[in-house]
Amino acid sequence: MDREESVLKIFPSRIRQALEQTELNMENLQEIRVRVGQPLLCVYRGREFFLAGNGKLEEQEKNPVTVSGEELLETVSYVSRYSLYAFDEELRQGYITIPGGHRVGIAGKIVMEGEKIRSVRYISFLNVRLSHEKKGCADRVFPYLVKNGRFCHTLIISPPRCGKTTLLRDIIRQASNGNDLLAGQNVGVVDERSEIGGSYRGVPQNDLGIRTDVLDCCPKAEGMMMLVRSMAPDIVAVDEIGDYRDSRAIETVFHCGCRLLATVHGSSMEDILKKPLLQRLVQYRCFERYIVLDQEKEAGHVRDIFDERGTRLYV
Amino acid sequence: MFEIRAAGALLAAVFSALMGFALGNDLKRRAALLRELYKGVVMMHQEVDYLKVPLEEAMQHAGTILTEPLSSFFQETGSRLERLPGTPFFSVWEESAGLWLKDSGLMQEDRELLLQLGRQLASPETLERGGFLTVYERRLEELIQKAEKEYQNKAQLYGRLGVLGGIFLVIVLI
Repeated sequence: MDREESVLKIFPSRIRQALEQTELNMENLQEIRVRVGQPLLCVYRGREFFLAGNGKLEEQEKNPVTVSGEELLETVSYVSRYSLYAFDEELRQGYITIPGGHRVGIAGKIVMEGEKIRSVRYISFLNVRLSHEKKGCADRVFPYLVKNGRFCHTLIISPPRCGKTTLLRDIIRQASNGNDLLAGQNVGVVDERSEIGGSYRGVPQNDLGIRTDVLDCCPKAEGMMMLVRSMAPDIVAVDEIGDYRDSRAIETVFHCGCRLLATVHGSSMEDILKKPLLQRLVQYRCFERYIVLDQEKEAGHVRDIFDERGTRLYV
Repeated sequence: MFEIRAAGALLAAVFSALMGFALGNDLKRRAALLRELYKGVVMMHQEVDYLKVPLEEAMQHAGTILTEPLSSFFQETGSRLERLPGTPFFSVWEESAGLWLKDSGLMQEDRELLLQLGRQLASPETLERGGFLTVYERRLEELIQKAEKEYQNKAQLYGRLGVLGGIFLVIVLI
């Protein structure tokens, strides 16, 4: 089943048919929002559209396809393969990953157990985030990340929805497979939210390269330590560092001789210096390359690449 | 002429006796089938409750320890659910029950109970499946006890009635 089909199959037949009628280019479809009693919304090429009953995407609310409670429950059945009980841990995290690596965010009534979230009941809201891999999107930046045949400690700085995970994914793939600039590297990925690999039943649905090992749904700090101890990675890749719990694990990665490839939320170097953990790492010149992304022209637009001294390398 | 009548009467008598035993055997088959179903549900319950295995897998695993036709019912249903994502659970369950259990020896009330199991399993809100399956197992146990008691009471009776009926036919025809 291809990636497009895997998304459409989670919807009841009425909604599925309406989506099929639109003849969407799935590569440009980012999100499908499902809410009980509300019109179905699609985020397509960065803009929001209503799915109309005539199979068109409309900017205005004209005869939209509205989702009933039964249809939402049916969607949940398909997402969970009729086995919602088997996704306790995922429900605690608030999402379920489906074949193709797409993530279905879930909201409803939270069931607490003491102070911890036990589960979600009366699910009434879904956010289907489509996973896209763009092979080759790291082609222009990769040469800057290799020095003297070694991969540099790299930090990708990006605001939300600017393609940092997509870029991270392609850098992992290229480093893992190797190319003219760099021999193939063993890459260990800590994929805390299943966004990088989009793993389904432990198998990455995105191409992360032939020498990549993935710890799926694993907390970053523990994951980095586990990888260093047991998988002998040349490169450790993680998404969205910044939590104080990550600092010890990051130091371990540096001291063990592994290269670190990480991302962080932010819009500039100055922005990340406000975060205590990153301020320290930048001060001590732990990272050798900083890639700054923005959405000026399009998602994934590389604005700057700096070295550890702050010298601009990318024009 | 007499020989033909005698042969016919004998055949009728044998047929009558066999029918009596066959009816008794049906009761035995029904009780055995309900026991198998119970085994399958218990195994599914364990896989669901302790191992948190998805339903389609739990069904396929359960099918491996059962005899026909329940083995095929569970395995094929699980396999179809896996192969055909986006298909309503209950429609697959009902279709499989129709295909594999139509002439199995289950009575109408047994089939209804089986369909009820399918309806409950199909509901995503049945998060507490363990609790539901425990209740279902108890109902099955009661049904099994009833079926076995019926077999004990009636099987011999049907056999004897069949033989007696056969003797009666011989007397009448000859």
